[in-house]
Amino acid sequence: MLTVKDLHKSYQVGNATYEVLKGVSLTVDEGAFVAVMGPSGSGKTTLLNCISCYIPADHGSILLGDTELARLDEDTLAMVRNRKLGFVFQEFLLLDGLTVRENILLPAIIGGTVSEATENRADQLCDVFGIAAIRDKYPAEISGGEKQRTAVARALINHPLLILADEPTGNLDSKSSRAVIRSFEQAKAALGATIFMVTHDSFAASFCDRVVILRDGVVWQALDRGTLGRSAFQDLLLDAIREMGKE
Amino acid sequence: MRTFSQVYAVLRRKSIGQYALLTGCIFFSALLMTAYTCMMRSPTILTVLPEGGDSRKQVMMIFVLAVIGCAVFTTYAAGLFFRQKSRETGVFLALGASRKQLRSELWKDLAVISLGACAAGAILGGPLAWLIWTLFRLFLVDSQQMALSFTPQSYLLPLAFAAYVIVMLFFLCACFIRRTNIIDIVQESHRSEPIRAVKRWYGPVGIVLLVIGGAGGYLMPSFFIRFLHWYAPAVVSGIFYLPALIGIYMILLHTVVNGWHGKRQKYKNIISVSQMRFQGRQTVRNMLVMTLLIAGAYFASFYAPILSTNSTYGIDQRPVDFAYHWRNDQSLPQQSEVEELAAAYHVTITSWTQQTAAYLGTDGTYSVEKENGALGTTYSTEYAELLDGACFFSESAWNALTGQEIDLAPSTCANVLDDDGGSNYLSGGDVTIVTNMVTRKQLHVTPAEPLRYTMLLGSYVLDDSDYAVISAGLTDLWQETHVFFNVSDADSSYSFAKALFNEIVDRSDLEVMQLDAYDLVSATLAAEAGQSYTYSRENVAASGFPVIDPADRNSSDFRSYWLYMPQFRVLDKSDFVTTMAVFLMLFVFIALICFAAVFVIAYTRCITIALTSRQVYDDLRHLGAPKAYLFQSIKKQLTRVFFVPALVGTSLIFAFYSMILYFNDNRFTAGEFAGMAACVIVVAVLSAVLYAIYRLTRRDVCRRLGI
Repeated sequence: MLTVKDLHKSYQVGNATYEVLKGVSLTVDEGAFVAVMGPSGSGKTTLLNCISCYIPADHGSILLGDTELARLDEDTLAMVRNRKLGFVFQEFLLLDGLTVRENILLPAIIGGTVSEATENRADQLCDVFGIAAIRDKYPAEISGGEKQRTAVARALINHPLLILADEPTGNLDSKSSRAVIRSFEQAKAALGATIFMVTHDSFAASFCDRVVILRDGVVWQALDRGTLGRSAFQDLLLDAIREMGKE
Repeated sequence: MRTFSQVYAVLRRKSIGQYALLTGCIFFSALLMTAYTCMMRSPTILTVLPEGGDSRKQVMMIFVLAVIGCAVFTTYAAGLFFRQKSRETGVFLALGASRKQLRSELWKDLAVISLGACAAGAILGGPLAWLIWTLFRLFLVDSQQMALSFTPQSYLLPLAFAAYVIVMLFFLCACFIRRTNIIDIVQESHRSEPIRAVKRWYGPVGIVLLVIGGAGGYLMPSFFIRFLHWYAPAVVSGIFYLPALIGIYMILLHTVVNGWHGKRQKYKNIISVSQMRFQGRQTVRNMLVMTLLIAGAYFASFYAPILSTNSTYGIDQRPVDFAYHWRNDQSLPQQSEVEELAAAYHVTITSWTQQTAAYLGTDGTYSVEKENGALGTTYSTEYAELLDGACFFSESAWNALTGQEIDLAPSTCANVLDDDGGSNYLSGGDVTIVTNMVTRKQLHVTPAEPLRYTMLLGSYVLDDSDYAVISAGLTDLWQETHVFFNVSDADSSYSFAKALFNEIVDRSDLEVMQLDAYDLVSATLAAEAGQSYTYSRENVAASGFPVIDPADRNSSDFRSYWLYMPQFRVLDKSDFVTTMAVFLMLFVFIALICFAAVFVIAYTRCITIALTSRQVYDDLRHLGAPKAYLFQSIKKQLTRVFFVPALVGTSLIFAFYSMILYFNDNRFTAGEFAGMAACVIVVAVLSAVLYAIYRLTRRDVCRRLGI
């Protein structure tokens, strides 16, 4: 589904050059729920922004299925973002002037694919994520957890190949975080969604099938959950993080 | 809602305020500009400010500043519009909208806004001009000449402005859409602009540079002329103003980044200072533009009060109601004719004094100029026994006209200054040889103590016996008659004064229709040398300056510059109000535009501060900061944006006007003091308006920050 090979990215600040990604390679299988963890400055968000094509990578390739994203022209890239990718941001990025339902429909509206079926799907997503009761409300009238669940529903409206989530629980309390993670699980189970999530929350990551840990711009370790229970997987993650701290 | 256009329409409705601000700014600019050009094309303005005249040039110069003000504030409003659009645009792009889609929607919006606002402004500009015109006629001046007419030319400038607005909006839109980094767009409203550390000496050094630049720029050209005999090119003179500009920038930078409270207040203002510091560069740039616009607005606003107060004071101080003079070869109304005319207008003449004066040649020094190409012009001075001419009175004629009782010693000559003993640039008092231009007989004199009499400023007085000797044999061409008379009720004598003025103009030949710089002696000497005379009607016309034309008798140029212009108190006062009303009307407009630009820039900057500070104020609230603390902190930032440019701009223009008034003749007259006092009132009124706008903006910012 997603293959990242030898990805490099650096930033220029004044005369200094900071290399944030130093050759990251990873794969995400179809239907998988993968998290990227790592300390601040490890390159998590930069990796996600490169995969989203929000910022260009210096070197390396990003394959979505068979498509090399870096080679796409602007219009095709916009179409890929709209049809094949779904986005969930830490800041939610809902439009304040649209209702919950309208926000969910927004990618379909942008893509010009709104039909009765799409509207029904928006309603279904509202039901799935427990936001049906607030679907006619505006973002200012709902809680953070509800906003993020709206964002997850929005990310799924166009049947994307991959959902990219940037710290989706970063601005939420534990109850809302749990609701959002549950919505990802539901998306995966009920809709077959593939999810790639950047987080520093070990609790959120413990729900994933696989966790890639970045340190100083390279993949330090990749842990598969396998048959482990959520709690045991979280312990494993915490041990790994502790070990990383010792080095 | 199934299409992107429908989503856009919904969002437009939800953010109607952003659209209203931009539309309002463009509409306001187009409205004022159309109204202004409509008035400028009216017959009254064309009469009062003739083409090529100084007054028209001054009005146009300041109007150009106002047009720049309009352009600046519409551009700022457009900048804020796109800044507020950045979040939704970022979200659209992030969710896969193409730039083509966004461009198409934005273009539709911008086309409607720009064309609609410009058209509405242009259409309503005419009625606004008519309304203001009517109000002026109702409350200030109403005469037959105050006619307003609309011509297609009135709409050329608004059309050009509309073209600028459209190009500017679409250019900004193209730049906005072209940004490729979605992350930057999404986070744009939270982006701060870093600023380098500013040392604490920036403020004091800025003030020193401002003073040096202001004084240097104004005085250095005079220094060059006086001591180096060099007319420096405008670029060289302009360079001396540069330290003033750098000084203003340093003062604003220091105010924004460090503040003036010193280290004692460091922690008290830590939030406001640090917030301003991180938006420093853009804020200082905004404040600099505001400072210059405020200075321009006050320059326009002060013109009418200074001129009117000073002139009204001068007219009120005149010792006689009516004074006029003529060259004796002209056939002008004599006492009997004037009395008949007065009777026809039911005016009683209570006193009549008529004296003859001689127009004699004088010695003096003159400049021989040498062009040095790009380096400007240098000159040397040379003495001539017969250089130019002046009007000479005998001491008895002088005493009869002025009521003074002077007794000059033989072979002395007294020059005449104004009532305060100033204006000696018009009457140098260095005459030592007087020449009869008919007999070429010379009289050697020594300068006596100058006399004071504004109405005869620039003339000279001789001892009676000297006068009799030197004026013997003069023809009518070289003699003048001066008449002073009073009437019983001067305030009710306007119609009579107007009729007499018209009679004087009608009966004056074209050869005396000369600028006040014209000198018969110089003209004669030039003719004798076979040279053309600089101030002859032909040369004046060839230089592109307006010649004195009886048909333009009501223009301010005719009234100000005709060599034989009568001084009728009631006429001058009344017509001065007409002329001033026109100036006032035009300058009020220009000031309005400049102030509108200042208000919009200040408002947009404050809203930008609110947008960039939202997160900080949320964090402070989470840290337990009470509402009063947050309010004080934001208030300090907003007061700097509003009041620092106002303070600097106002001080600058006051200092500049003071310099102009003082260095005109190295003193302040009572009239000038009165004019400056009138300006203080103007500043007080406009400052109150500025404060009201500040309060409204502060309320809006607090609402946005939830304070």
